[in-house]
Amino acid sequence: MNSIDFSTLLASRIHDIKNTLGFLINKIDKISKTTTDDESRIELEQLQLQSQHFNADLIQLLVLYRIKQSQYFPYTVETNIQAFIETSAEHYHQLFAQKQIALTVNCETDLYWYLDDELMSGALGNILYNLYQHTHSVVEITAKIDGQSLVIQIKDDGPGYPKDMLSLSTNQQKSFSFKSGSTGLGLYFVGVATALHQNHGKKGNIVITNEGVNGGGCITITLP
Amino acid sequence: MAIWNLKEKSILIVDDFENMRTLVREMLMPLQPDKIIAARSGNDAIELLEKHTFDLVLCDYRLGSGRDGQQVLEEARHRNLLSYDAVFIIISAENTSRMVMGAIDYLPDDYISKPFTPSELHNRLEKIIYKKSKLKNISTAINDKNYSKAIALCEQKLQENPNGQTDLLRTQGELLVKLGRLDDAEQLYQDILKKRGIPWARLALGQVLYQQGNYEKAKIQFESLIEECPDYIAALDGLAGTLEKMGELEYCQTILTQAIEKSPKSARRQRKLATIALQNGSHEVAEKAYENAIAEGRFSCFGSLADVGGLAKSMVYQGKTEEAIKSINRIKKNFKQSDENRFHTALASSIVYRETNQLDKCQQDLDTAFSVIDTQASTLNPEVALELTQTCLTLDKPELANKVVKQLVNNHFDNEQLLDQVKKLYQQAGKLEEGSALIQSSKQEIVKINNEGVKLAQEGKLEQSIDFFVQAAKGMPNNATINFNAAYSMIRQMKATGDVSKYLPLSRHFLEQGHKIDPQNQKYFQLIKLAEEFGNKAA
Repeated sequence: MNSIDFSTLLASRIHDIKNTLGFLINKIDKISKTTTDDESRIELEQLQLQSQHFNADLIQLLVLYRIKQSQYFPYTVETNIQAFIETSAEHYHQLFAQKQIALTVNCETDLYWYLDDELMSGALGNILYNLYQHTHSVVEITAKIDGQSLVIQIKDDGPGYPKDMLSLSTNQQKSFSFKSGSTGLGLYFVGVATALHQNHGKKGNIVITNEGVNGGGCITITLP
Repeated sequence: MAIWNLKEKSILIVDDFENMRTLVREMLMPLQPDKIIAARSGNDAIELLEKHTFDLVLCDYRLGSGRDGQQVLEEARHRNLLSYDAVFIIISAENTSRMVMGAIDYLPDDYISKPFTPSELHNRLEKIIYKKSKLKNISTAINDKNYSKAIALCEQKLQENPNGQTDLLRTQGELLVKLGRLDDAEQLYQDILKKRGIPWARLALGQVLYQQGNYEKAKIQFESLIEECPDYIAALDGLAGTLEKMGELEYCQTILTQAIEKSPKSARRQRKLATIALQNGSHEVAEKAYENAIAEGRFSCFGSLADVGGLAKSMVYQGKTEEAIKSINRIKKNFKQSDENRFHTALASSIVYRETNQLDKCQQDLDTAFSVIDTQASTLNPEVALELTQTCLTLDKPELANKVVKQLVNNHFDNEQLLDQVKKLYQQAGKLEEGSALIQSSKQEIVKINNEGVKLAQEGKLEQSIDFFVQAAKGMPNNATINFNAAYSMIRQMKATGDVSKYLPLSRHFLEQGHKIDPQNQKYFQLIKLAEEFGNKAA
């Protein structure tokens, strides 16, 4: 099968899968809103999260496939950053609350920047999904303009990122190792999505350190 | 529950999956819209848009066979089936083809990707409707065709708060272009691009340069844009148009082929490729593209059966005479029976027989073609008129040819390139002198008619001048000057009487008509500025 056929096939199947998934997510949404049983509501919300993550994975696969085919071109639009972060984090608020994780967003209401909404909300979702599993009690998101770039920083108070992931930037994408499991793959996507953002020859990048809250992880996303 | 709502709004949902239609409907119900209507296909959607007024359209991009979401949008905007205030949203399963979707001149207000939850949909709608409402006075000014006022409002808003307002800059640029202020528009786009290489701004800059006749510079902009965003169909279209003007037809064909690979469902793009390929002698490419143009145009406002003539030509040049006749007959049978159908299929068939020197059959078809145009006062498009003229001359029917040419000159008396083509046809028939004389006398006649109307206006007999030009425009609807002068007399009359109700819409109709015929004509821009002040009074 040649690559064009596969690409078309993939796109059209994803269309169908997303229709089905949309149906699923909305049914869960409906039931979880009407149920009076707290326990099943919590379970339904987790089901919801998994479906959202399923969707995010689909987007990632498609994007990564297209990048490999040199077919992906980001669609960057001037975006209100606060609204963007709030929307991307929307599904996580309740889940974090269940585990007593405090999620805070620190961003001026009038902050605008250019980004590909779907790519970057996928990236942010990835990071949050990861933190849902690893942080102790805090996730802090801050966003601000620094010179000619937008800087989004996500800090947590978890155990921090393993050594082999530190000091990696998107310029060394390939050295993200898949053996570090879903965290590694997730961060690989974050790096790729960020690097697709360009302006006047400058590329976006990510930096990972353990300078978060109480030695926790810290991801810094810089978009030109 | 939500503070805002969709009360009094009417909504159209377009999706080929019943589940999705139901789902979206259920999501919108809590917002209490006035009515929700659902369509299962693009064609159904257009029918509904013709009959009802909608405030919001939610349309899936993929709609099975027939029109896709982008085509529904293009046709709705092109035919003014949607008001400037109405919101059109395209729903898609992936965002990667947005550049492909954002074709030609029509952009949706937003894209929403599947899957989405009710609260996501509500938030998006709230945001878009809020954004539109903030721009309400600007869109009102645009609806009233008062572009200068709309520009002033944009400037004022940008001064109040320049943050996150590129939409306003974009609108401002479009308005400057509408008013013919191309230098100002160029400056605006250059300033935007200094800060960031935003694709739409580079596209718009390329289009402005093109309109200024600065093809070399336009080409550079389009090329660098395509390098950056190879999926951007509008950039490919822009480059193809520029190359056509520059006479680089081989390169133009390559670019159009690329554009069609990415976005094949456009009758206009297929037709463009077909005509360029025909000129390049790529008859096979032309044949395929004409076939596609006919198929894609079948249920679209951009379709034209005039393409059948091109199809016939491209086939005959490959020696496929019998196949050409078969194709014509197939189209004749499959398309709606109408005068248009009879005329174009007869003309196409006459071309086949003309090129293969079967003059008896050619004569029969020509008779059929004339029997149709004689019974109805339709105007022929220039390509069709040229073919018809050539056939008449080949059959040695100069009187019929002259009749066609006279009408052609009436409508396009200032298009020297076209008139040269006419002369060439007469030259080939050994009748150059006759042809030149005919063109000359027809031109003089028009100048005389025009002067007569202008004189009436100058003498202050404005009503008479208006009647005169309106009558003249009926006879030559594609004569830009006559259309503009009709509008000008109406504008002067409105100024004299202070009464705008009688002539405002009509004067605009003639203005837009003239602009459509000759987009480069500066008279249009002078006149819309004059007409603007009446818009205020009417509002």
